[in-house]
Amino acid sequence: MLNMQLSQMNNLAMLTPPSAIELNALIPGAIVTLVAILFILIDVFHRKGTPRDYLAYFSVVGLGVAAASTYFLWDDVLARPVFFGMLYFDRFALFFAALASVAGGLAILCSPAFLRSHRMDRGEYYLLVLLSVVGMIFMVAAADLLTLFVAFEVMSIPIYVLAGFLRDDGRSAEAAMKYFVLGAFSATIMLYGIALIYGATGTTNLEFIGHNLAYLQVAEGVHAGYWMALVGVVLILSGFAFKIAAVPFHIWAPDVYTGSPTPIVGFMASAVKAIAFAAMLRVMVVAFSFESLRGGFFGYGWIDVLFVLAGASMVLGNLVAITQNNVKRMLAYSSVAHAGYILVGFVAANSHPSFFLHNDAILFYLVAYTFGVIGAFGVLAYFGRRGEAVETYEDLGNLGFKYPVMGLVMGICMFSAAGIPPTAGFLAKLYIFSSAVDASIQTGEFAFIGLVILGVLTSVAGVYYYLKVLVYMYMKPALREFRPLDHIGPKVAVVACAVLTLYLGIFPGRALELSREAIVDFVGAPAAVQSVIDQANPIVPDFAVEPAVVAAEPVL
Amino acid sequence: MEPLFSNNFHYLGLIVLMPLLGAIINGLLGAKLPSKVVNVVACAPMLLSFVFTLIGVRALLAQGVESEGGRFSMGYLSYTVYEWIYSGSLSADISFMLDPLSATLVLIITGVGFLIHVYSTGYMAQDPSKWRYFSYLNLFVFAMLLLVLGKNLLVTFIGWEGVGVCSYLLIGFWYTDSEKAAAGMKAFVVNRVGDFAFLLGMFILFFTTGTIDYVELSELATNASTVPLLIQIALPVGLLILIGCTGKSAQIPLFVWLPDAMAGPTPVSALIHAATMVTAGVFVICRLNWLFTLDPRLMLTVAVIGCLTAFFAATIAIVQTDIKRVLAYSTISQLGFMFMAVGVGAYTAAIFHVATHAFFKALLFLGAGSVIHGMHHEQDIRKMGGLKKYMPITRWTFLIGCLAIAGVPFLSGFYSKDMILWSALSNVHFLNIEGVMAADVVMAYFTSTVNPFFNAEGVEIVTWAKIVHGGLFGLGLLTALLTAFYMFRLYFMTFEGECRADAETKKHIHESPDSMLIPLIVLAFLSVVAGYIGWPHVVVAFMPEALQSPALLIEHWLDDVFYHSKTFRLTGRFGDHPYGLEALAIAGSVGAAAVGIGTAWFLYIKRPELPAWIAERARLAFKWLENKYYIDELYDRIAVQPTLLLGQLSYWFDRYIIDGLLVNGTGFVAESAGKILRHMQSGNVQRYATYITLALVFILFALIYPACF
Amino acid sequence: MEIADYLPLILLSVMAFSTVAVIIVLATFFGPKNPTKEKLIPYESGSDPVGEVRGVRFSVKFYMVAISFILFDLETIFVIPWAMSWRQSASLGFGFYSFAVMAIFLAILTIGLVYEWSQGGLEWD
Repeated sequence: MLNMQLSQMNNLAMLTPPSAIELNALIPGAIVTLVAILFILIDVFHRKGTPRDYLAYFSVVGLGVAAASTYFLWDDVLARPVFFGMLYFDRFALFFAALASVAGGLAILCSPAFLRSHRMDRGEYYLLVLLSVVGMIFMVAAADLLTLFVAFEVMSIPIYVLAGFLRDDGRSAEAAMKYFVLGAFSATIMLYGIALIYGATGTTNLEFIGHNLAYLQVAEGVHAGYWMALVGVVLILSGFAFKIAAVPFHIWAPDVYTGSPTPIVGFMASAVKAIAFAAMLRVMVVAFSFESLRGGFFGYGWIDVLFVLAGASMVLGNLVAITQNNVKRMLAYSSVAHAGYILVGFVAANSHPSFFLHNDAILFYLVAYTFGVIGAFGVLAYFGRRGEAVETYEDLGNLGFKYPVMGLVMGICMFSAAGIPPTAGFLAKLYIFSSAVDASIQTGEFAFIGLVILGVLTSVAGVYYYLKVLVYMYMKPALREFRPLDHIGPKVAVVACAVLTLYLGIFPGRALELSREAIVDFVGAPAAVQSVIDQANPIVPDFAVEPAVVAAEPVL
Repeated sequence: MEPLFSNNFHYLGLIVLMPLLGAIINGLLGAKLPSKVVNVVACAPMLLSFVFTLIGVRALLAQGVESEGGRFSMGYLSYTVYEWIYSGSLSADISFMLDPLSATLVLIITGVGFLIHVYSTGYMAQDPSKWRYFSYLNLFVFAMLLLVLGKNLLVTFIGWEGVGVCSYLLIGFWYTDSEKAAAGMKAFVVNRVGDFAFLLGMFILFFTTGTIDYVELSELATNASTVPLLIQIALPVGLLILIGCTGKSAQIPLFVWLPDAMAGPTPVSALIHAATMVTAGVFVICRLNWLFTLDPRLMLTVAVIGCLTAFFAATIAIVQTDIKRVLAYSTISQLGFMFMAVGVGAYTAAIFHVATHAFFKALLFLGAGSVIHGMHHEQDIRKMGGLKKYMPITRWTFLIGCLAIAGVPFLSGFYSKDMILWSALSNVHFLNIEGVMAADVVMAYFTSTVNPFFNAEGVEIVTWAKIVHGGLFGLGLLTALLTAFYMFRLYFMTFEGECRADAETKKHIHESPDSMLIPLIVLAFLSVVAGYIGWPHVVVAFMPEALQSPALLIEHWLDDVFYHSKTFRLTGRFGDHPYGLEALAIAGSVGAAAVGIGTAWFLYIKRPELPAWIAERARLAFKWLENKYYIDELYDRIAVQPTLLLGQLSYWFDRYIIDGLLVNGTGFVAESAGKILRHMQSGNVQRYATYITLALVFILFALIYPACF
Repeated sequence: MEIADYLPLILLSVMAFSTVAVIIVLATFFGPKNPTKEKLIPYESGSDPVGEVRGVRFSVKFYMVAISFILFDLETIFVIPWAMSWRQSASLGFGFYSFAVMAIFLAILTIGLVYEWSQGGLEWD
């Protein structure tokens, strides 16, 4: 009968518009879309041969406005899905909309100098970043597998193009090819998973899927549909795992990260990963948190799959990163390792409804990681020039003293990635691991502590290769001369990243509060999770009495 | 006892802030400032912090009250800077706490730190990036103050990591030398192993008790209704934190980094690797004394680790020829003494030794720095000798340091070492392992101060535990003998006899500037008198009434902090003191010092040809000692190489199994679009896709197959 | 659902397959055969199915035109149903809303057209 309800709703949807208040849900995405459209118009009338810096600044301002809009919308969220069950308009979505906008803005700021020094100063670059951000904003808000998939592709396709943006560079072209073919492949697998879920439950709406799966189990026992759903879940999961580059779906990452334009790699490693995590969280919790599907502790469900992926990612990512000589490749493997750490938090927080609130650790980690990673790639991008990019550790020799600001930023970012106080990375790791230990102590299950110990040991290996960057930047002689294009954009971007990384490490209060609010205002959760949320949040209905929220900065 | 509580003691914030300001000013502007200003900016914060600490100590004394049993309790002062993490699953403030324990440490850090800063102005005078050095040094002091003043474990941990970072920066300060960079890296990575164990211990503590605040935790630990909760986790938490402490304090099994850390500038070795940072492990265990005391097995582990480290490091020190390496191994050995003291429950003795050791080891390092400075960066003692002619002040102060560390009476080292040895012999508090753990933990039972030697009611005295204590004492005594020997070997080879340096160097040997000598003299003075606050009780008994209390100042001062741990101990306290044992310990340590110094004198002054003869005879033993028991090689074999190998293997797996067609594993042989396409056709991407599909199939199989049964 | 519920599906498949099979078989036996070389080529349009694909290069302009065609083709697909149901929507009082939505859609497409035009996507030479 749920199917009936849905089809009635859809009929209605054709004839009646959503209520005015629901249109708020579109605002961040609409702003970015509008900026993209205006961008096209401006770019059309751009005079050939002049620099396009103003276009970059225009995009950054637009993304800034989008991020700022989340601040004003923070208190206007709705506790139900909007647009006939297609989108959610909650703080969780706004949080990631802000994160995606800020990450996009920072990546764009790093770009004008990079593009010019690679003689590829074209407006489409910024346009594609903007469109990708649009996809991201809608992806985290998706309440339906179809919306999710469309947004997923809107996010991905521009990134495929951007990966190959330096089209004269064979490696960039190869990266784009590999990313596109494999990305399309994994998206197809994901789509197949969605089809199987539709086949098993008769709906693509996340909440209805959850209901129907529970209904199947209760009403008809273990049914053929259950196995279909299980296969579907694993296929959908593999699509997300591909985007977050978790072992064994990380295989594209090293090649693509090495070949793609450096600022885009920063964007790819931060925003795409963060958004994929957010969407995965939404889908898994809303649709598939049903107990026998979730599993846990080798009860054969998706938690166990993620458990193994987390362990494998941490081990393989860190160990392989040690052996790399190319810095971008090292960072690619380290991003695989970070996916592993975040998965530790993900597994711990979602292994049982009562730990749901621990998901705020993931949110904080993603924020901290985003700034660290964009900063690091921003610094690498700064030194790059057509045909003489910074590639190996040796290339970094003595850059720290020659460019003190860049050296300092790289130092902070590396410290953050290695998890050393007082950077945000330390606090994020602390938070993730503490949530896993908490889950372990509460359930009496040693598996989580085992995972934490694995994480802790592998991150010791991480310290080695992160510090190696600094050793080369400060303690080795320069082997090559670099002539970076002096430009204010990348400087502002990387300094902002470094400052934020330190700020989040020293004064994490607001960011933690926002992560908490975002996770508490997570719409669509099933009853078991919702009761946990309600317990933690006695102040839900009246947002006006929360002065801390009003004062908070939404971008963090 | 209600803890005295005085929050918002703002001076605590200032103590911490001063070095940070110094670091920031020098770090940002130092390159442009004149040299003199850099010196002032570096040294002034240390002095100010020291003064603020004195103000804190005064306030602490002022709020002290006489509580029951004639005990003078001072409680603590605290200051909350801000709420750092405030969230559902974890909460911690940035807050500081000054109690007698942290006050002692802070006085050492800022006081000795100030002297070393002054010394550095002379030592680093020629270095072009002096500002950077001072910036790091001030940053280090800042982190160390965070560590010591932290009111909860998390603040301590931040300081703990911070000192690690600064130590890394300072070890690798002369960055042109890649060996030095590697030494810094090694120190950092080895410490990280310990740090994460520490972190894990902290998590377990937090999620079991719900707090990481020292005051709240100690209340839990000393309250009969909550202590069973802590007893359950005392062993795992304690062991994890102990691993962290062995990393920071260079104990077995993580001591390998400290000798290599000598690559840094000598004042750094004096400040970080002798006086302050390496004692952090001892400090943390003392800070958590109520936790460690809960489980006697834990205490035994600490004591045994400490004792073995002390002994092994001392044996290695005998054959080293680098002046700084001898001191490094001697530091490890002395830290072992401190751990042994902690392990036998003699926390006061441990802190006492931390203090005296800070003075005389800083003195020795600075003296060594003066020698190295005078000899133009020559560190091999085989090329020294007869330096007393050239640098008389350095020689006298160095001699005082050697006498102090050797344990000669009336110098500070004697008092603290004697207190440790005596405690090892007489503190048998962990004898009742079975008794405490089996009985259903009653606080009254815990606090009963039964003396096993005279009154053993309710407690079964296990013979083997007595033997263990005897062993600790015996090994400690032997170590004391070795200490006296290798220190005087060092002294004789450096300052006495004929000068073995080449003629060119000889011409330039000179006494160091005043800025280096004044700290030496001050430290030498402190190395003598610092011991007078902890006389042996057997001597105090014969003192006039008025002197008795000052003579035991250190014990009274720290009594409050360790009160609860002391009451767990089964020896008698001041009342029924086993004077006989103490006299035995004194006699033993004086004898050991005399024998050690005598042997050194005999071998290196009287019959200088003998050492070579002995080395010839006991070649194998020498080789083992010279190579430090091959521990570095062992670690390389069992930890470093396998990790690298595993990395290579994973990489190989990741690339060649899947990406077999590509050469070199770089993933890029393609230079033109045509080649790319050929690679696409030759199956590169197809392989990736196949790999993903296989992984997916495997996951599905793993999920569905077991459930089919 | 029971297996019997799938019966119509199975029947349909069987019928589809057998119809095709029967037609092919009949044609093989009864159809007139007069093979020439040209007739045996898989693609009668004259392209060679075997050999290097890269040997034959198409100008990117073909793709530009094809993509433009698809875009404006899709526009038609969206606009016609909208036009059909606009009256219904207007009768419910949402006429302006419907109009605005379609206007936004068309505006975006128009901007795309302007962009394509200015980038030279519509010029053949």
